[in-house]
Amino acid sequence: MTSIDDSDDATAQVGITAASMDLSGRQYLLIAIGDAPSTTAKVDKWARDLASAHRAVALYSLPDGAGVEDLIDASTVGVRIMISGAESEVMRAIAVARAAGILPCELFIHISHVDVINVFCPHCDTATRALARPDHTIECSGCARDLLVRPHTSSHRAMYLASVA
Amino acid sequence: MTELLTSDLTCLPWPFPAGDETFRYAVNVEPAPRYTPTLAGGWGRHVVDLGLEYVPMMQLKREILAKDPGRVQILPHMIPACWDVMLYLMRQMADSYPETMQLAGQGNRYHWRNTLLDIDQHFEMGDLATLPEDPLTFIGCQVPDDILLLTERHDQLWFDAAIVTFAADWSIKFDVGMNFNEIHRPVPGLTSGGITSRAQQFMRHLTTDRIFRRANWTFSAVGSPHRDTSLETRPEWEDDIPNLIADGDYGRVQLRIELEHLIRLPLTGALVFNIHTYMAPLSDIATIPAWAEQLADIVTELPADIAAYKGIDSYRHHAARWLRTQSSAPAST
Repeated sequence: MTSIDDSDDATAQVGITAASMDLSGRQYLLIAIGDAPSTTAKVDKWARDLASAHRAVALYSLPDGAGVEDLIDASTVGVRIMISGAESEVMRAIAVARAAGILPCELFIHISHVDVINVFCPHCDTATRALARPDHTIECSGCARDLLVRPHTSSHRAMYLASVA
Repeated sequence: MTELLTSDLTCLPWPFPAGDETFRYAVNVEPAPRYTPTLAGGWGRHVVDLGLEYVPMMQLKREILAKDPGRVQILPHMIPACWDVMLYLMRQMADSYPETMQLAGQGNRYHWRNTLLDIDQHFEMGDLATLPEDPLTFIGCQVPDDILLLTERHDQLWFDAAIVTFAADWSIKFDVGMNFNEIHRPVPGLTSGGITSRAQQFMRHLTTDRIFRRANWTFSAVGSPHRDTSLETRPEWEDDIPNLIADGDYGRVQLRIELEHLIRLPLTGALVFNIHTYMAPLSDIATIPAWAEQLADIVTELPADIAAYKGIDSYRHHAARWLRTQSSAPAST
């Protein structure tokens, strides 16, 4: 076995996160964001698989994606980060990890479920938190325009794009 | 706001090879600069083409930036590449236009003169206090091109700085910081067809001694010479094409051609993706019958997903019919 788990998530497809998690890391940080059963079940599975491969594992539970920054600050070369949680928080965690210099091959994600998303309005430069999916229309919290949510996401901003239709 | 009124017909980089009746996305690059005559004139003599209305265009850029400073995006690690591209484009322009632009210097200290814009600036490379603004904005407001800067990390290209005032329905604020694949995810067939990875391979293999260019095209989202068709300003222009269609006024549809230059910068190794946007109305294209016919053929045959991505699917057949009618009409009209 040379890797655990594969991801077909959009960020893995475009090379922002790893398509599979290799076993050459010195330490694996397994991070559950939130406590949804589908989130923790995934992290538990990673922990079992890594334990059977005799890898060093540290388990964390965070309330939101921003908390990943402190864990990265305290980590050293050879760390691997595996994150499971709701889409919006995982996207936030990816943006934070990227800004901290984590490489795509060092970061593996699992989106356990989708609830709210963060939507970027290019007309007024405001983010809106909304219960929506691509092709839905939302009202911008900044300019109050009706925005059509697009499928395009930014791993830098951790947001979906939207615009007037 | 300043509007540019002169059609670019005579200097239009016609993007379709003679005889082609279809269009698909491709990595259609060629060495630059190289003067290329066309049926209407010619293009491509210089890497930086000042265009037909240089001073008004620079004024327009300043106006767009004053209204929306976010059209300049520079991630913190990109400042050295901004200096690099500034000096590089100054050298290009001084070589191309020695009568009006000069660069003199020794070591890190330079003297730049652009008499067309009354700019006379002494600066020291790397010292921000010696310029009136950041180097990307300073040079970006002296070239007609939008300037996009990419860096290489982890075998990928990252779009980490740019000055963009003439975007075709996209947002620099949203796209900054993305990698190459992430930017191009919405373009139909581009990634699955392997074009994104081939384009990225090509750019990653660029060396500092050779420049390449590529032409891309669409119809402008606005049926006038109006240049700021960014996603940011979409609420201001989104009704224009529906009105044009309602009026059947296809002569004012603008063929929009982006001439892109691909450059590897000598000091930082960052990559430059310069975009000079040329526009000419179909009423002008119709005066060159061979162009009108070829464009009509290509627009008619375009697969629906590409036409939808270009935003022209709803009216392209009407526009093609209009072109055919006009170009076959007597020349006296």
